[in-house]
Amino acid sequence: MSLTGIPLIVLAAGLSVVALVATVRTWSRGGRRRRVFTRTVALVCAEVLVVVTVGLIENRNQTFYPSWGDLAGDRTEKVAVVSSPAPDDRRPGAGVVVPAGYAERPQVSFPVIVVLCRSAEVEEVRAAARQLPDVVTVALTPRTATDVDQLVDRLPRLARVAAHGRALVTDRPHRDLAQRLATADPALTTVVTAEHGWGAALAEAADRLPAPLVTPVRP
Amino acid sequence: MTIDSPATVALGAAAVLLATLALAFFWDRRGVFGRTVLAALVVVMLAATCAVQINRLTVAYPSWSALVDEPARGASLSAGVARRPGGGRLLTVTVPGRASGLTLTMGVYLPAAYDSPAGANRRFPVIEVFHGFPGSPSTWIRRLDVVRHLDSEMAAGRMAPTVVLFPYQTPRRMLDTECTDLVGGPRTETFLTTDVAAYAVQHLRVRADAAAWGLIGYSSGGFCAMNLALRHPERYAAAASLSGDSRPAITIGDGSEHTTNNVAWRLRHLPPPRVALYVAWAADDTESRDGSRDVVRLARPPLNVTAVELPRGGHSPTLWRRMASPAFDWLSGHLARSIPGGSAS
Repeated sequence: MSLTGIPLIVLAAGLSVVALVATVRTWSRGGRRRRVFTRTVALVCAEVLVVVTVGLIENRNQTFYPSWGDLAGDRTEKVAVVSSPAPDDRRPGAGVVVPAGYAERPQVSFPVIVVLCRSAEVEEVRAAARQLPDVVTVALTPRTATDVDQLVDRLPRLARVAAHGRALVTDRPHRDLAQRLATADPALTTVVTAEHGWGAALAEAADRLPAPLVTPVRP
Repeated sequence: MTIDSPATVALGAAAVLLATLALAFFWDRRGVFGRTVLAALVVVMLAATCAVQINRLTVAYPSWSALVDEPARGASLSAGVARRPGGGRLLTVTVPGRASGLTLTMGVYLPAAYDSPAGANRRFPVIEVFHGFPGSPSTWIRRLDVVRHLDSEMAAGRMAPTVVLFPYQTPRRMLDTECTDLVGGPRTETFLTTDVAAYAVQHLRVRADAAAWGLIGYSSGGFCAMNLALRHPERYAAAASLSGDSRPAITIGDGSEHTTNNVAWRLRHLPPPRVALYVAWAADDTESRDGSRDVVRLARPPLNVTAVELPRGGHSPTLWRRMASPAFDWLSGHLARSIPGGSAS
């Protein structure tokens, strides 16, 4: 019988009425001692049944505990780690700059900075990125938004990157492209334009990103 | 004996039994007045025992003194919470609400890293935690065991070291504010979004920028988290709702429960902000299920929604204990990291 079903409520309410009627009818029966006993038992039964009935009605209205299992409250917390991270110690793909300590933390996924720059600057960007803590950096010279999207899609195969936490750092020529990408992608955390050198812009972007984390538990 | 111990309920049950026995015994020896008094005693004892048991589930009144003390001068929230080895510590502070005019008690969880040499000169991300109604910060701390969840998630590296705030959401325990500024009433939205942030930035080593601030709550606290994040994207980057509805369960006074304080209305009619929402619910809890599904269905970029529907669990502390760690992990993955930065006063 369902915990929130009408039949159980009708049953409890019916039994409450029976208990109340029985209480009244047996109130003055028997000798003095017997009377105290039957009255107490009948009253306690009626009290419990009334409380249970009210509780069932309220539980049905608010769906606190929709099933008996919920009421019993499976005390053990069934939190499973889905897609449990087998330590991933693959080497990062070519052109990907990983932070210090990357190889020593095979369980951890890193946030990403994607840098849009002129091809002549790629090496300079990579050099600056090597100074950054706790972030994976890739630099490219995109002609279209698709170039960036394709790189982002490929990223999980190139390095241990987090599902969330991605920043774009762009030079002035690519700024409009970066804004278009940001508008289309709600998962993008931030866009930083490099005005005063790559080092400062990369550090600013890294500060706005999450820390590297172990794969979360799922309910 | 604490107000929410099983022994208190057992004592109440014993008192009901005694009162019932007295009614049965003295019925033939007393007149109408005596009988009435005894019958009333039974009813009062029964009601009080039920109230104690309901309070055990909600922890709206965390202590006996809370029956008379309002949340402005709440007792220590950390009483009975032992610090675990390698875990964080829990403080109780009073937040003077300069903007809202409210002054309320708040719990503060400082992660172990906050006190470590490596974290001594860093500013940390922040999560504000909202309780349901009826409820109190103690519901999270005692019934949902939040400190253990935070300790273990941070120790496992699934959460970054984070300062976690547990503010009261109402100046009167039986007044449901739904974290809004009630017309002609307390301004809890202002308290939670402005005063709590000002206090935290001044007194704790926390980041001040929105990228590092997140919200979480269960039941009406889940509504609070979604509503405040959407209303104040300049202050919060992410919010998690556990069994939250898409609308407040109260009348605010200006009709805004149908419009700007209604998450579903806001998503239908206003441009969405760039924040991330985690929306979790149990499919057998019809009210929060329908509200949460509305939020997920109506969300448009740049609003970013992660939806988690569990097949069962109802609307109960058992469910929220199960949902807490995944939600905190998700939040931490959406909040900016700790950064080097000066000391707090």
